[in-house]
Amino acid sequence: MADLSKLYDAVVAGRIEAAGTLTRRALSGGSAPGTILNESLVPAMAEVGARFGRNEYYIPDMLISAEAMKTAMGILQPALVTAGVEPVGSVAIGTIKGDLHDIGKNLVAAMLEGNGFQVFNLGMNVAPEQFAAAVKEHEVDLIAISALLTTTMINMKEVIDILDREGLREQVKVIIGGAPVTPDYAEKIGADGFSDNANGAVNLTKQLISGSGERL
Amino acid sequence: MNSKERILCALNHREPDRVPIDFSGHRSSGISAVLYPKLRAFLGLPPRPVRVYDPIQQMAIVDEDMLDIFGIDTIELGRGFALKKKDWAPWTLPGGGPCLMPVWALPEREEGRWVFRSKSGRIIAHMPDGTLYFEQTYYPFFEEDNLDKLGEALDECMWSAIASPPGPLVSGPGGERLLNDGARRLRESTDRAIIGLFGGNLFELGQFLFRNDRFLMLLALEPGKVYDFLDRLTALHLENLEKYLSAVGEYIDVIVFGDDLGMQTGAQISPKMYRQFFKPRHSKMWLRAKELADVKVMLHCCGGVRQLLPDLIEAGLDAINPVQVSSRGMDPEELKTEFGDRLVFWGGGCDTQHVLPLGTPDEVRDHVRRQVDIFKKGGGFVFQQVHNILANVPPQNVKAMFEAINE
Repeated sequence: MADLSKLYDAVVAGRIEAAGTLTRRALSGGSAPGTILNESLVPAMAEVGARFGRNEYYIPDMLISAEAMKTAMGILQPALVTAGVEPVGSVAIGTIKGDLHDIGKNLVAAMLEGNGFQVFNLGMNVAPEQFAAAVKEHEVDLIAISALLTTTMINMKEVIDILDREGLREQVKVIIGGAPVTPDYAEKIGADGFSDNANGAVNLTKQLISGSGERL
Repeated sequence: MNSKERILCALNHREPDRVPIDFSGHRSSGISAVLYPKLRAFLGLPPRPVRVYDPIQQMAIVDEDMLDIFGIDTIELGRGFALKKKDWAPWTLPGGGPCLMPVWALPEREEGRWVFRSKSGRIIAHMPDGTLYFEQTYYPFFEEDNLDKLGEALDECMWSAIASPPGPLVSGPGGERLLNDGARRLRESTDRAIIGLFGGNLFELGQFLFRNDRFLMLLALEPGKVYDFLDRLTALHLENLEKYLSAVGEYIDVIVFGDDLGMQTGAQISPKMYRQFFKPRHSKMWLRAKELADVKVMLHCCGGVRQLLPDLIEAGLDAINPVQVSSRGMDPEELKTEFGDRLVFWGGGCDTQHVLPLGTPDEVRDHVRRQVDIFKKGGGFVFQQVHNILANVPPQNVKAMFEAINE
């Protein structure tokens, strides 16, 4: 258990190599993969998110923690599969058609992966049809759409429309974010939620997919 | 009071005869080349060729007649250059409208997109069909960061390689004299305050050269490497600053530096990290600029940067731009009360994320009146809408905005 608490510390502090080493040590020491994930890694990323929310952590801190988490997950993933531990959910994420910004979107993707979600990162300038295709192909639980500009934000509605038209809307949740996006806009286009930061996006995803997660 | 006097009055924290206005005086206070001809038509102005002076963001030069109609008090130094027909080449804007691009920054067509190549022939930026601006595609230091090759790396980076006028027109032997000549001619031709775009970006060039995520992680993981990088970059900037201000220092009123340190929800980095890496180097450049010429120093710095303002002021900053009032912590009243006696707010005059593109003309007017009332007290304010006016903004909103400023 000492290793698990060290692993937690390593992820919170963004010590990338240590996170890998400690994950290996925890596995070889006999810790169950699900235990490593749920008692060490997931709480660590929750703490990172909380520190960001309190202005103790900024983007560089979040990025190195997410990287440490990814390194740990890379090692843990095969063991999770063997042990039959399912991902907590799956998400397709992308920046909307017409928009070529991806810093914020990639941070959300990293934080989601860090919290045990399977993430399909569709990239930038993603057409509504591509989001719909990801729902069909990967059966994702949730779509996360980002926009930086008011000129491109309006294309987000097309994603909801196409999901409606193709009869996919019931099976997938849709959340949106990015600089110009507001809760009102999310409601107006019929999205299931909005967040203005990566930590909030993770909590929202947890809430929508599993009913867990901190209420915002 | 002429335009230059009005701007200087506001910059010196005195209230001018009316609120001074910037429009298109730098690369974040302009208007989309797609919208510009529509706005001309709406205002009843005769059609003019659309000249795209900012090829990356696709921004248009605003002609004198429109500057006059709106009572604009600024002009960008680059307007004194590229005045010959041979400096421009025809191109077609997204959506099909004709325009002219600087001959040295003409995009090439590829399947499904426009691209920019560096001098070495590498594709460094693209604009896929359906988008309205260019995005960087190549990050010279992402895979291998040989700091000895900083100069070459800057030539391979979209933001440093694709220049607005004067650009290459004043590079090479004799360039400083040409820069000096153009600046003098512009000074002799206008009463508007002249804004010199210097740049001197530190944080941003880290992001542009290493790629955003990698540079942000380096700040947290390898401070030694970042110091080395920033020292070399600052030395290069200082060398350019000497040349630049010896050529144009006597003609410009404001020198603009750039470094976006904020985002919608606050600062990207902590005040501690700002002090550790950037403040001393910003300060060196800003104080040197003021030694070299009688100029005010402005920083273009998007996002919610309130937490960083005390340090920016201490580092020698005179004016902050664009005062992104829709970001967290950027409440106009609070900013004016807390920093108004020490810092000029160049911007914040009209929100460009919601009100300007999505509001009605009446909503725009009300909003602008409120912003101006708060910011103008005691001077220390130059009106600018928060950022470039994008392609989808209704022309009637642009007109309402400029009319409301000094109603």
